[in-house]
Amino acid sequence: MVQREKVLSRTKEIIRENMPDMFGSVDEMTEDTMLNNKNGNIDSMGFILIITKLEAEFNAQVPDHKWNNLTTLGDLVNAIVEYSKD
Amino acid sequence: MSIYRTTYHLKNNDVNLYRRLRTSRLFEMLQTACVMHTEQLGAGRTKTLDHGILWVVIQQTVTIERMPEYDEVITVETWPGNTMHVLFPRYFRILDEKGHVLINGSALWTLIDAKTRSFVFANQYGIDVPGESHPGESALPKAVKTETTEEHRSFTVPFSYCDLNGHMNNARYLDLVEDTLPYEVVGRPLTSITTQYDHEIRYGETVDLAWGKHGSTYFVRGDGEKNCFRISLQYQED
Repeated sequence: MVQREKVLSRTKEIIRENMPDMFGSVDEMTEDTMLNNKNGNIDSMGFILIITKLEAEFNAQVPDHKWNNLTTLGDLVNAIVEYSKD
Repeated sequence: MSIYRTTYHLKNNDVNLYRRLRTSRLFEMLQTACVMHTEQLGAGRTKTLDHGILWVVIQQTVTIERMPEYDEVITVETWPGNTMHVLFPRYFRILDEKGHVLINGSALWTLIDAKTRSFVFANQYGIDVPGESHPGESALPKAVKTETTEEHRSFTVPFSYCDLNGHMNNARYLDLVEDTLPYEVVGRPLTSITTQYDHEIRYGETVDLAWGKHGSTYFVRGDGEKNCFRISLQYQED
């Protein structure tokens, strides 16, 4: 099973690579940092880049109906861990 | 599934004042080939545009061995990669008459709802683009790294820059960039171009355009309330 800490670390790296202007510092992000809602920091284009790259890297496919529930960094990491086939 | 191929004989309006293929024309050709092939594969207008769904490019990259020139006959090839949930990779290359690869590249496309401008899940619209792999295909685009900028100006999207999706066409960004960079740089041979479109810019919208030089690479960005795009152009060393 994929290690949660590894997913968390890679998620932050992928956010840094793809959305470098979205946060003052990715290192300051917590698992409660909002990602994907009206008050969040990442818009839909950035969000799909990040989640699809994570899915590809960890051999996961988060079901479509779950995407709207991924509002925080922690939610995203949990979903990748849950649906990873590694 | 096969590779889609189309041939162009470069005319005067395809090239710049140095008789090399315009960067915007290059992107138009790649875009046209992708659209035509997508039509052939059954994921074109009747399944998308006619249902209020739009194909849009998010990231694109090309590496240039040599830019085609005036009066040259070139072949544009494209094929789809394996779908990544809501991202549709596209690979392409441009060959000269002898079959030498002049330009190699890739792009990431997605589908958005024409009204909400949010992405949609293709399977909910019965859209499927079977992917394939071919030797020598380019790596998929990577995010354009943010660099510092030294210059900036304001830019308002004119009518002629917009396409049927109601926003500035991805090829027009190259015209904008080349109309912005210093005279002594523009038109010099390029070795790579990478574009990232984070937020569409619609007719009449104004963005702050900023650019900077980093070695042989120029970084250009456009910002409204959010970052709209980032483009990196690498020129041949002197």
